[in-house]
Amino acid sequence: MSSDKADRLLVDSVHLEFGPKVVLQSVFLTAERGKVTGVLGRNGCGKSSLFKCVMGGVKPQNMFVRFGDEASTDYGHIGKRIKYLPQNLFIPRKMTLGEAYSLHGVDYDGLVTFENKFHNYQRSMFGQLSGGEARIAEMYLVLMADSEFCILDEPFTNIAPVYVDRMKSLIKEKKADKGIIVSDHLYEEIISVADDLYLLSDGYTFPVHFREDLVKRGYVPSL
Amino acid sequence: MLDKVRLSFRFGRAIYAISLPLTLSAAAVALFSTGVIPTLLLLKAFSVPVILYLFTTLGKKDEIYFWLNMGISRKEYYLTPVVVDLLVFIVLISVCGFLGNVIG
Repeated sequence: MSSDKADRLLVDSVHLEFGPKVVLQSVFLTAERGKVTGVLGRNGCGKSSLFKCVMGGVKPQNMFVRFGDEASTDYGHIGKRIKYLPQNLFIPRKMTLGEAYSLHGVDYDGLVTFENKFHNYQRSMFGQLSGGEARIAEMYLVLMADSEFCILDEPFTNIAPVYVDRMKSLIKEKKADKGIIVSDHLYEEIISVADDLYLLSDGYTFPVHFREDLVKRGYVPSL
Repeated sequence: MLDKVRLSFRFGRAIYAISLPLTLSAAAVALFSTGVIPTLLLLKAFSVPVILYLFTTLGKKDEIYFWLNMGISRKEYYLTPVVVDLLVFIVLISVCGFLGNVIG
């Protein structure tokens, strides 16, 4: 890892509103290389919107992003430094898996090694894959692409439990190279893989240290 | 920059596909009637926001992140194919207008 890569990502003061609806206000989030940051929150609380703001897909009213101690941030080309797995499939349906991997500079053979069933799919159109296969291929692509940080939005959706475990292992392996932010409603899986945990609620982020914090904020039912 | 233009033929394929028949039709008209070139340019200018609107509303919304992940900005994603298409249109219309004058 070269020294010009930032060890820490700071996202601060994110304010997003759609008309009268305030989605995010003063949201704060950090990620560090070597750590997995988990983000939990109820449906519609703004997790995906927050990630899209960081990536430039949604324009917030206010946002501050800093890589390490760098004085300024090139918001327009942030994808060079942060790779993002959105909630919905994002590889173009009419693109072959081989081309998608090639464009991102990721070795396709690595995916075949990870899951042998992909050895025949290199020339398949992405739209021909099943939902679960597509999700695995995308998640592997995002984790393996060269970047300083990556954001995974509901990565475990639509994939079998056996793959959830393997993806968690891959996340733990890749966190040595990059900071990883991950969000999913399979919160036990997130808790098991995360080093730091945040809860997004009522437009604010709250650090989570104990399960009781999630109960107190109404994210999980009390036992 | 050339890389982004080259990539725009992938992510802006829909824009090019819609525009190409219109551009070729306009070029054919310009070849035989150079007087309508200002009108064609005006029509092209009006068509740009319509095509851009269709591109943003009908496309798969999350596919943009495939390209943003490659370091392409949101502005480049939307504007590169539009600008390239407009330049091709202007060049083609000019050439056809010139040829039309020479032939006529």
